[in-house]
Amino acid sequence: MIENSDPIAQPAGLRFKRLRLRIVILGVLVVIAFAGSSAYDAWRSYGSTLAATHREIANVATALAEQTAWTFEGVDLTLRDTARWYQSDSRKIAPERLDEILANRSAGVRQIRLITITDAQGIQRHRSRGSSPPDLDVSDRSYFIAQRDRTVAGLFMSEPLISRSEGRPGIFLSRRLEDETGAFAGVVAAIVNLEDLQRFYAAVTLGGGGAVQLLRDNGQLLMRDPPDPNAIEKKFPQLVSLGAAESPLTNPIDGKRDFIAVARVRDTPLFLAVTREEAVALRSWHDEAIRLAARSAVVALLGFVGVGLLWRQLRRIETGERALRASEAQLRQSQKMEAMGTLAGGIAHDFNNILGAILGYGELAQQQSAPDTPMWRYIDNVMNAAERAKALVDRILGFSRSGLGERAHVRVQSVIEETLELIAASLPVDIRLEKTLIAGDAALIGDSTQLHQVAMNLCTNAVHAMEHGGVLNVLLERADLTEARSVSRGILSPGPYIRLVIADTGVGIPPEVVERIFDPFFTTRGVGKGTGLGLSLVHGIVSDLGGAIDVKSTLGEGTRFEIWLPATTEVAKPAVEAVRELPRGRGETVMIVDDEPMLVTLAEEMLAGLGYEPVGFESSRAALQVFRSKPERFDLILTDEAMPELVGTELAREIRLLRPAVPVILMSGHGGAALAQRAAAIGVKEVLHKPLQRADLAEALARAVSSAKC
Amino acid sequence: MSSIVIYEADDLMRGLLQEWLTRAGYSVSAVSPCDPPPHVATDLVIVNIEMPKHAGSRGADKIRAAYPGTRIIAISAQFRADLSTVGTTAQVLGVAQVIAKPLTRDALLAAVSAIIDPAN
Repeated sequence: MIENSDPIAQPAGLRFKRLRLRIVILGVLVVIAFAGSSAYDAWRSYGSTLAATHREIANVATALAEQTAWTFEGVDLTLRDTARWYQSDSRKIAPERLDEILANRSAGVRQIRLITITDAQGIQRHRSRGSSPPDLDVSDRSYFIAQRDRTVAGLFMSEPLISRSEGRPGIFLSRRLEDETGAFAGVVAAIVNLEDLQRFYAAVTLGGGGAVQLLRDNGQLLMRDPPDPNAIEKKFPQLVSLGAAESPLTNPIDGKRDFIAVARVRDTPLFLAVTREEAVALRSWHDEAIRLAARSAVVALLGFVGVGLLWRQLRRIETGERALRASEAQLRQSQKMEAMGTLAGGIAHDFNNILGAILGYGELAQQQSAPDTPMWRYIDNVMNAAERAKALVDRILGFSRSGLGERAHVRVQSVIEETLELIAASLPVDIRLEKTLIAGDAALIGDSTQLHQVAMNLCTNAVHAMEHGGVLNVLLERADLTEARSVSRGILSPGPYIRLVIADTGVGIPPEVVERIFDPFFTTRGVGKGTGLGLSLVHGIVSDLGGAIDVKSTLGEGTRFEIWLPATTEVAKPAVEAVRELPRGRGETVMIVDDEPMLVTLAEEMLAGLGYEPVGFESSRAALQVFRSKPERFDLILTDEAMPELVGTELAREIRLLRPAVPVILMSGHGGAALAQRAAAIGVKEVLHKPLQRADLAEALARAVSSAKC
Repeated sequence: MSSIVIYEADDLMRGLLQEWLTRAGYSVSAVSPCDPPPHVATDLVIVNIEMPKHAGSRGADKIRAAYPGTRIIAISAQFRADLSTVGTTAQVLGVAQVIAKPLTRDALLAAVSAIIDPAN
């Protein structure tokens, strides 16, 4: 909250925020552009690979289809030539030589495995290889029926058939034989040597995952390279319906995703399909895509790392700049407070002299005027006003840090406990006090009264901030700092500290007010309700003790003050008394009243050592009862102020009502101007500060005894 | 009659202190620090110390040198009101007692009496 409220740091923060945002956006855009470029390259490469594959397999399909067409054309040429020869010359040749002539004719045509001549009754009469049974009847074969019945004109191509003469599968091509009258005289047929075609197809390098299929127009697979015995003769009509496919399809033959190009074999009912597995065809593209993706990922990673490093560097610069500005602001604030303190200290000095004169001469003047006259009252009012001014100047001295106070070993927890007891006694019913005091015997070198003022002011402010009730949380603990720390008001060096946290659940403080809360005379309370010196005093005291203050406040949620006080590592030493002889008593009986038995014992011992006759009481009521019974027994009363039954000032009043001349000395752990005034009003001689110093006590007792004698 | 020397820069205060002590029966020499020191034997010196926080014991050194062995009461407008009269501040300054201004007649006379005539 303090940072946000810094009017200088905020624009710098915004500037850095914008710069960081721009760097991130730029970095992300560069990475996106590079990734986009790589994706575009991959997409283009994919398209090129697809086109190249399509083109390649389509060309191969066309070339192989043409080659296949030439193969069948060669077979047909042989069949036509044989038919002509047979119709014109066969009668002149002895029948037993005809097989030999047929063998000679087929020997020159590699793609023909066998040539046969069948008569009009379907009896196979001649064949180029004579290992088949004689007079084989093939009248039920399609290639014979088609020619006999003229269902085709010219060349007929059968479905794959098992040759009865060879017992092997093959495709039969047939042509009609006619006699002189044009009547059907039989058929000349050839079994095409598919192995030869397959060898040719195998010779074409398609690369891994490639295949060549020869199909009939009804989709029946005639031949495949590489061979697939499971698929031969099965029908795949969807294949022949394809042209040059545009994209990979599922191949019905092997179920794989393939590029497929289909070409019709000219002048035949055949189709030639060339396929290539998509995974194989795209492997090179796939590898390239991975390389591109990896490159993009590396570039993106480098980009992000770069942006991250830049971001971090900017954050460091920003943090450094913010710390510098905060430090400058703190320095300005510190200089301002110091300047105000110097000014206030100077004013306090002069004012105290002036007030001293006013009070002193006022007292003299009052002595010269008759009591209860108007003059006496006027002077009394002047002196009352001067007393008020005196209290104010003392507070100014407090925050100005120019005033000189005690520097003693102070056990912080006992002071805070005592302060909280006072606060708890006057706490509104709707405010709950929650305290955690775990500092043990941690101590500092300072003034217990000032420490009390710090806690009292902060607690009082917290209570005022919770008009509608809430929780006042007080924590006191030891805290060791291993490294320097900057807080709202001050910089803490490493070392042992005592941390006092006073937090409320009140209305909170607006950021613009937080900046000014420690300024002297700054108050948010109404005119006449607050002096505006409370937090200035706290700041002055804490700074004087070498500590620092951290303030955090959220509107509507509350405020939290953390007071860091340097803990002393010195062991508490008994106060060294001034090197002089202390005034001693002459056996005067002194009533000692304190609800702390140990303190009663201590005071008894001190007084006995100083020559007095102490009588201790742990109950103020019991003490009053004893005094009532024997008012003349005691020469002097020494009483604590904070006691549960009857506070010290009340006891003093009761005692002085019984015997006005008896001198009363009050003891208090925190003192303060209000108590001093209250005590003076009821005739208390002196107010001593706890812990009791032997010398102070001796002096005070001597003065009190001396005044009683006058 | 015990004699007391007062070093006080403020005229009004100087006059007041002198009057109080004279009325109480002491022989008083009151001077400004700028004046030459009165060369008289004295039982007590009351000195105003300016900026005691910064001056420390130096504020009373000059007086100690001029009046060796003589008890000193330091008064200052920059002592906190709740200061112990014979506490650590008095020890640090090297004086018998310290009294914060504005001081009362009773406080001054009690301090003087405790030093000059401790038996009373």
